[in-house]
Amino acid sequence: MLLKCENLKVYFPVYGGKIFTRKIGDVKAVDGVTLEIEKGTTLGLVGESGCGKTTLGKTILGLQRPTSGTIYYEGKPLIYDAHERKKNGLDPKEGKVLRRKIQTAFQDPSRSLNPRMSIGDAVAEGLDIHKLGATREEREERVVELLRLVGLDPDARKRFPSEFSAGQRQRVAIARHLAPGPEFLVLDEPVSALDVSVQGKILELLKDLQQKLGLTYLFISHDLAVVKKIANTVAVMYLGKLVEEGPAAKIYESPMHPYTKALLAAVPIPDPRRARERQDIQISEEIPSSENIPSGCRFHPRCPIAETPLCQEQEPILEEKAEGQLAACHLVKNNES
Amino acid sequence: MSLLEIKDLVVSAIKNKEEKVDILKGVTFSLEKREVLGIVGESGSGKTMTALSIMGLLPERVYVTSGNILFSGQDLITAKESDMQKIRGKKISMIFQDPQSSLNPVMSVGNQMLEMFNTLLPDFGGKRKKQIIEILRKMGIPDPERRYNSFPHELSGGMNQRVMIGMMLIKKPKILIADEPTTALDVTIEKRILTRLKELVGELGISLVLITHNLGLVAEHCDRVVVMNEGQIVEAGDVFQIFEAPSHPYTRKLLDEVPKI
Ligand SMILES: Nc1ncnc2c1ncn2[C@@H]1O[C@H](COP(=O)(O)OP(=O)(O)OP(=O)(O)O)[C@@H](O)[C@H]1O
Ligand SMILES: Nc1ncnc2c1ncn2[C@@H]1O[C@H](COP(=O)(O)OP(=O)(O)OP(=O)(O)O)[C@@H](O)[C@H]1O
Ligand code: SF4
Ligand SMILES: [Mg+2]
Ligand SMILES: [Mg+2]
Repeated sequence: MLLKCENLKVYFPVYGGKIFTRKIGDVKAVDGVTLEIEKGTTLGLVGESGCGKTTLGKTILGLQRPTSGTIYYEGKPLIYDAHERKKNGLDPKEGKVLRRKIQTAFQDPSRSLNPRMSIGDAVAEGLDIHKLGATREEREERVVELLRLVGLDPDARKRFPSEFSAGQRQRVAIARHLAPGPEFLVLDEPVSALDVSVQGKILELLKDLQQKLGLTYLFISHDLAVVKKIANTVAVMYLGKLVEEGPAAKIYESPMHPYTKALLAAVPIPDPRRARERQDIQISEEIPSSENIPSGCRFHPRCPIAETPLCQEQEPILEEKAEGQLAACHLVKNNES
Repeated sequence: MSLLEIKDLVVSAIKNKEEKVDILKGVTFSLEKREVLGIVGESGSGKTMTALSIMGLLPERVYVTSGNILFSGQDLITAKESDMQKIRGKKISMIFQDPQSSLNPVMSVGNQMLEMFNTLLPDFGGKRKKQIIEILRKMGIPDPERRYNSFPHELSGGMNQRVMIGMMLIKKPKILIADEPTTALDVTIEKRILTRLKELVGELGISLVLITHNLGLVAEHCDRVVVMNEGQIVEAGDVFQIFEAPSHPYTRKLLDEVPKI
């Protein structure tokens, strides 16, 4: 297991009162997530807007402190800060190495590149941050190599982001994040802003790089069709918690949790007649808040098959319901026996 | 006369002293009142540039070389900047492709919406805050009372996108151009937001231009479709015709690429 989260919680305090100094609650962005990612594989994390996907990714990257719970990387607690490492009996110097090994590509590719910096310099900056590429020649050589790796013409390295298409810019961003030689990448909606054909190419590139470099991905997306193309395992998140997890093929073929089923049913159909005839989504529109999480099963106010009082009172646990497939729902029967 | 008519629009970018490239190579289409028009095409085909030309907001070193953009008969290309500002304020609005950078990072989203409200109309009854909270609720943002005071970085990517769309419900322009407005949203919320935008079309009689690379969305929500490729329109027509009997090979290719679940 390369990366493991154990009962991870990330809460944001909410302040109220007249001058916003009194703590009145928490936004429970991530509320007890346990997951594992095997080396060389891709975990697809899906779920609706605001369910906590980015927050989980940022916590792995050390951009956000967990409220409780632990992340393990190669079996050891994932802590970047030297002081914190010391306190936990870990080698303080290793934190820097982890920063190099774990990289990201964020939502919003257009903003991750500086419009006034040539793309070659943008990629080189990925090296400089980690003080890699000692001589000028070495640096140049590595930039050329990286651009080639992501399928760009290295002769274009003096050109600026505005001269490239959205898909090409995303390639540059990927090259930049590959510069420090990472092992693990948090990919937060890396293709959402791209059209379908470019999306396909970037996903192919990511898969290709994974093969060549033995990379491991946490692939965050709200788009189930995209995740289907790249993930080995899929985890479905709802209001800060995982509600279903399993091998990608199974999740798409036989989803178990009512929320996963609703997500799959709402995918737009590229057929104007069928789309107009289709019944509306069966889940209710009211979106509960991560500050005021519903009792019992957190999905119960929107669940089409909820049973009272069971679902209102008892929180279902995420457990194996069929081989390799986990779901958190009282009404999903266990197929094991 | 159509509400908006674009005729033979050529837009060019200046590369260096001698060189110039045409980004739009003679684009012609029209938009009717109360219509939902989809513009589709691959990345780089010129969708955003078409929208920015209408808004008079082309980036540096990119110019309209020839053509007309007629809005209720007035040519926007030759219009004075002061007139364009008025048109952008009230008549034609755009939701930009990158919502995060259109929001002010140091002002709460509620105050940004309030400011937009106040530039349109002074507040008489002091009811604005309530109205804004209602809009946030309509956009499916949980806890709207509290989110009113949140800053953009405290909201998720999709929530910020919905704040931008919510602002348009305040502005109520005659034409709303939405450039990939729902790329950060999952399918259930996306559907709800587009339904809200379409209610505007029904209730207020606005016209909506939906720029997207998602053909599923076009099939579900648009009346007419314009297909762009390399700065040109290769096909235009009624949504049923485009999906059921596409005549251009490029349209067929786009349709074949739609991922299926
Ligand atoms: N810095 C912060 N301060 C306060 N609340 C925050 C902060 N960052 C995130 N949140 C809240 O945490 C919740 C989860 O946000 P997150 O960005 O993780 O969602 P997401 O699943 O990535 O959504 P999207 O698909 O829209 O990007 C949201 O309610 C958000 O408002
Ligand atoms: N500032 C600029 N200077 C020069 N050329 C530009 C500039 N901005 C965009 N272009 C070029 O104009 C063409 C059309 O770009 P446009 O942004 O309209 O595409 P799009 O269809 O909106 O694509 P996407 O789906 O990626 O948003 C592209 O080839 C692009 O490289
Ligand atoms: S536990 Fe009950 S409310 Fe929750 S998903 Fe299952 S049936 Fe629905
Ligand atoms: Mg996010
Ligand atoms: Mg665009």
